[in-house]
Amino acid sequence: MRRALYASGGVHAAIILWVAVGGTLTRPSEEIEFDVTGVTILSAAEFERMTAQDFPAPAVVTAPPVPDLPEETPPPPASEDTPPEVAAAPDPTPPTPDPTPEAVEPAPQAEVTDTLAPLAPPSGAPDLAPDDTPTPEEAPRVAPLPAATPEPDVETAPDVIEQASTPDPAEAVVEDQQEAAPEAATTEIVTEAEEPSGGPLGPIASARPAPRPNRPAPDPAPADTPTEAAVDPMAAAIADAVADAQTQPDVPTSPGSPPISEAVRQGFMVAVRNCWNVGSLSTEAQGTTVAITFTMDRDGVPDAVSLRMTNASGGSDTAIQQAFEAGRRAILRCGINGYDLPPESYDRWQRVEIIFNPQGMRLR
Amino acid sequence: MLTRRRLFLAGSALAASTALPGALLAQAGPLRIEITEGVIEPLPFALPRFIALNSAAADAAADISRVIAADLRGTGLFRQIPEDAHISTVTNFDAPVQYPDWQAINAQALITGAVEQSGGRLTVRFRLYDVFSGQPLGEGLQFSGSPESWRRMAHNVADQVYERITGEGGYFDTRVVFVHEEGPKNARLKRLAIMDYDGANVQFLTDSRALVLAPRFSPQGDRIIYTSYESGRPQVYLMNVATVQRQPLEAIPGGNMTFSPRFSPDGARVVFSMEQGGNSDLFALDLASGQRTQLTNAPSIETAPSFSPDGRQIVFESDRSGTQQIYVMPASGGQATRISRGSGRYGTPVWSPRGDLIAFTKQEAGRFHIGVMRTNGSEERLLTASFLDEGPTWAPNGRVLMFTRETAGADGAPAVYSVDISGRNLQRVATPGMASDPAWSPSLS
Repeated sequence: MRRALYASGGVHAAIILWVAVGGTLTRPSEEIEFDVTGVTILSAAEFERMTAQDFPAPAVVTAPPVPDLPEETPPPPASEDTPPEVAAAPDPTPPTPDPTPEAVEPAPQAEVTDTLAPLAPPSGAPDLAPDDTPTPEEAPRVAPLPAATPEPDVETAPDVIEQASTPDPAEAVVEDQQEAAPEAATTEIVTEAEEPSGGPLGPIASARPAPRPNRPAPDPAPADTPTEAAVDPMAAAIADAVADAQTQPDVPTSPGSPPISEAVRQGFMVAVRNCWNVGSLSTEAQGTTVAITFTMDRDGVPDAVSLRMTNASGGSDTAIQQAFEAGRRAILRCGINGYDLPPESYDRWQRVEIIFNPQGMRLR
Repeated sequence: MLTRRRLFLAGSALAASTALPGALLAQAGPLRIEITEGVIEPLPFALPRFIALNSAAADAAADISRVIAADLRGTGLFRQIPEDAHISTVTNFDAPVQYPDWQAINAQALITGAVEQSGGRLTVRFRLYDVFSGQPLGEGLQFSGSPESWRRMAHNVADQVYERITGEGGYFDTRVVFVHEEGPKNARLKRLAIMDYDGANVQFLTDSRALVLAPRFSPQGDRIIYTSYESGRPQVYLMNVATVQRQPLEAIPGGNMTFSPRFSPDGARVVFSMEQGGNSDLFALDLASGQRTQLTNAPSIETAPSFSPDGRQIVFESDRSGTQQIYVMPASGGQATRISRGSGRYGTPVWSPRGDLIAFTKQEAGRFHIGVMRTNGSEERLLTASFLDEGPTWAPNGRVLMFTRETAGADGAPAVYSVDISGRNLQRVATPGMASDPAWSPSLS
């Protein structure tokens, strides 16, 4: 009995609640909007008068606006295939012809009125040679003082050995030696065309080259044969003086310093190459070869004053000058902190000659 | 006798002993290396803002600095180091340069300058330094002119810098005449316009009532010759740039069409195409006497003539072989030699001011190219490729080309581009709207 009462009360309460707040939870139907347009009633005379008028002419286009240009050059297109950005698509309405232009304003004159006196070099700057014009000059390839040809200590073997000495059969290494042509193994000549087995047409293996003949033994002539100078007391004194002169300290002994390895040489070449920028040169200068000599200190820093062009080819004077300056910039820029060269071989790289030959980069 | 001999031996030995180390060094010789490849990259330069020597010159100093830097950067050969990276501050034009400060930021060239404005005159001074050599590159110069000429003075300074570093003449103090275009593709209006090479100072030379084509500068830059439909048919006109006064090149009898004109290097003659009875041939006209000479006589289309810089030869295009190709003949006419040998069609040849190359338009496999070749047709190189590239024109130094590039489609529009003859540094030239058919002036300096 009471259960029915509770059920009836709950249902009624739910209905009352739905009626009270249910409307706000449901979505109202969209209202249809209407455009209301006012209508003007024209008389026949007014309509005739309106249609008789011409359409208004488009605004006269004067000079098109000049954009704020020109300092910043627009960037190049991303790629050749990408259509570049061009002016916006034009208005389909053709513009009215522009009025006749007036006289063009002449370009204002600007002229060189003076050349300026050169500045004094800053303090601490290297004292440059007064005339640093890189006039081609011959490299000093010979000693400034004539030197007497020393007597050879050991007789040098001639470059071409006329006749190889016969090796001692007991000591000679026995090598496989072949005659110039093997003896015929058959009684008839078989040509390639007649080769029946379809074997290779070319030789399968090349014949081993004949071994190099042994060096001739040095002449058994005694090396200690006393000469006139050796037995002469004055000559002996001269020899002593020469020996003293050769053992003076602080004299570079180039032959004694270790040679520069090919790896070091290549590394030096790459270091300079990385700074040799030919991109800003004229096309003619890009085809000009210059040779530049200079000296370096023991830290591998080039001496700016010592840079000289010793040879040039392939261009006009102007092109040679530009090519020289590009090479000079390369040497000095990449050597500002010193090139990585072995100090123990300083004698061998104290003086350097670099040939800048742009044949690999030349514009054809 | 023996004593003398001994003395000679002794002297020689002593000389040898003292000279021996040097001789050995000399025999060792310098370390020799050869470099055949370097790098191609823009040269870094520093350009501190030019010093204004009085307050009236403050704006000009800033503007001139900006234009010089833009000129150099625009070549693609130079890279400007930002001013905020500078270590040194240049406050005195005549103060010694602190090279280490500029070397530290890897500036290879340094440009300093000062500007003064007084008495209605603007004065610009500049100096250029090779930073790593620690010395000036050329002597300092001073330019003077009216305050309105500040832009030209900036171009003059940039020309000097460019010339001293590259060894080639600058092309910044130049102008370009071109065809300005408006309207839809099917009703395009065209008029002649002139501007500085960098797009500044645009001025119009004609109105757009008559179609105009192919303007070309005279060698002195004071006249322009072009084709106009002003009379209803294509006809060559001559215009004075300063006064904008124009006149037909000559009274052509019979109403024949004339087009594709170009001046001779001395400016005394004009070579052009003329249509007669459906066939076009090349003619030369002496401007002083009015005497006209027929240069070609072939049942084919001969057009787009261009003189060699020495005036002795003419390069032109012809379809006498069945396809459009490039030919060279003496300037007085005569036997023509075909120089284009590759596949495709070749047209609009233009002889380089340096005389070493001929620029051309090439059409092949549905693509257009701007290219260059030697004057005998060898060593052809294509510099660009697009839907439509055509009509190259040389900068006065023979290093840069301008040309027209048009995009595809109904909305396609022409624009002017430039490219270095190495094929690098392709960029669009700023113009006020659509533009085509550029022609580069000689240097104004």
